[in-house]
Amino acid sequence: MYLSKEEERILNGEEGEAQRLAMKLVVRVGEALGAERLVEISHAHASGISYDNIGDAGLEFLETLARNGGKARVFATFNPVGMCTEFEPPQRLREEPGFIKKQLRIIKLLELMGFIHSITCIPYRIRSPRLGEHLAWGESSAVAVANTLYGARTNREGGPLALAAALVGRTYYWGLHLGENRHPTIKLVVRSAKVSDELRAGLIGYYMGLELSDHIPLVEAKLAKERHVISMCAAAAASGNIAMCLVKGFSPEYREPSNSLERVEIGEKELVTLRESVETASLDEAELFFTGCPHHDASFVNKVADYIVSKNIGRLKREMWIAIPGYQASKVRDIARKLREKNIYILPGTCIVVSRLRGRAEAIATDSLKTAFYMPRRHGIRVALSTAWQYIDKFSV
Amino acid sequence: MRLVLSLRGYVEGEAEGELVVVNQRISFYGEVRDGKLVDGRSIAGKILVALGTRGSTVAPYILYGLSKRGLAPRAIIVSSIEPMLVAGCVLSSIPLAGGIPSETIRQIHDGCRGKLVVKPPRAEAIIEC
Repeated sequence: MYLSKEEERILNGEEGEAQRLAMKLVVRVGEALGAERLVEISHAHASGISYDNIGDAGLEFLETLARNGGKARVFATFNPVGMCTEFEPPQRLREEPGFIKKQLRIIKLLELMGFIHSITCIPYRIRSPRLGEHLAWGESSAVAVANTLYGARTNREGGPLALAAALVGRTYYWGLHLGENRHPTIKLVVRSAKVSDELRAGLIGYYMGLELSDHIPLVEAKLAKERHVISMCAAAAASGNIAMCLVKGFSPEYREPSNSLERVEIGEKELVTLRESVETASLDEAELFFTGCPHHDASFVNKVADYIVSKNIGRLKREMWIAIPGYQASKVRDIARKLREKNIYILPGTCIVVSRLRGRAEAIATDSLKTAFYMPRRHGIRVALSTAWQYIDKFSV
Repeated sequence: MRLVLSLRGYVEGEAEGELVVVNQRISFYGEVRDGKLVDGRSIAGKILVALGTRGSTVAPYILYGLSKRGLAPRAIIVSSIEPMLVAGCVLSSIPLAGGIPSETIRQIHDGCRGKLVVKPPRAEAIIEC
């Protein structure tokens, strides 16, 4: 691989041991893939932050980089952690001191290395990526959103690689960093009514992940809002390995496809069958409702509060949990306290996918197909699918 | 049956042993726990053959954690490659090859024995069932 003089200096350890280790990882991965050179990035986003996910081995990896003077050279953010970073959590998400200590240590190490206090899986809300800009992002949903909604360029980087890329300000020039690899390879036509909630958008994404992995799908579906594209991307990057799709009206790189593009059509029947295969619990069995995977902006909390007021709801019979970015907690402090009285909990900086919910619930409900993918696998928890509003209406008193 | 496969090599190394065959993409986060697949099969010390990877970008940390605990696969062969699998194998020093045809994955099964030699960008696998 061609390396500039500066890159060689870093690789030779002239900028410190942490930068050397980071550069070695980026170069080794790039060389393995056949990249010819590196490319400068403007934003790195690290995944693999929950202590429950990475354990002591991951913590030691971070300790080594921080101890050896690792410092982010570019704007750097990081993913949700395994517990609420603020507010009193619901009983089932309370953690023991040993876990809290190690989780807080991970956050501290990242911040020592210059990562900003983000604690979210929606880094594009902190800094909007620009069209054509190079990124090194972990977090599968954010990668798909960056490529799809912003036209920014990132591969599905693993957590350690994104971290290393932050320290050297570069990643390997390969895959989706090259314009020639960003064209649609298949067309997905969704014959159905307007997609007006994120659950339904998630089902389309889940289908894409299962059936169209390794492709860049060009999606023809009646998606109404950006949040629906985000839900679709998140599901497609969980049930499969979709890193990018092109959606008319949303993707800046969308172009009318040629007639020769292979075409797949799905409709109501396929979506119903898929829902039946994913849904392993009934709404009656659900012990709580979770939304915010990917994280909701704090504005969603206000939307829920307005809905509760407009419907004159006293409280919910069963808990509702809403995950938001850690850095946005202060925006909703007062409203979170009021919603708590309604049995609605705001979870800043975490999400149940990366939490330790295993053994603490048997069945939950969610509007997130990404959550629905991971809960049975990671936590042994069955899942019912519902929109937030259906759940509120059903369990309000 | 004896197959000699010429593959794309990604992470250098040699391995010999029993195969575990997964005819789908795997998310190491969520679908592998304590060295076992969700269906209970162990991948520890085996040559893992899979269609590819999917899901969470936490995968490299999961592989790294498994290798630290002696529960990682001895080598990995996939049909299609993802960068995060390369990163995980580089960190964990697990030999990695790609490009095994999906039809071949359907022909082989758990218990077949394999020998993999990876010298990037090439690799050779010999599989006996």
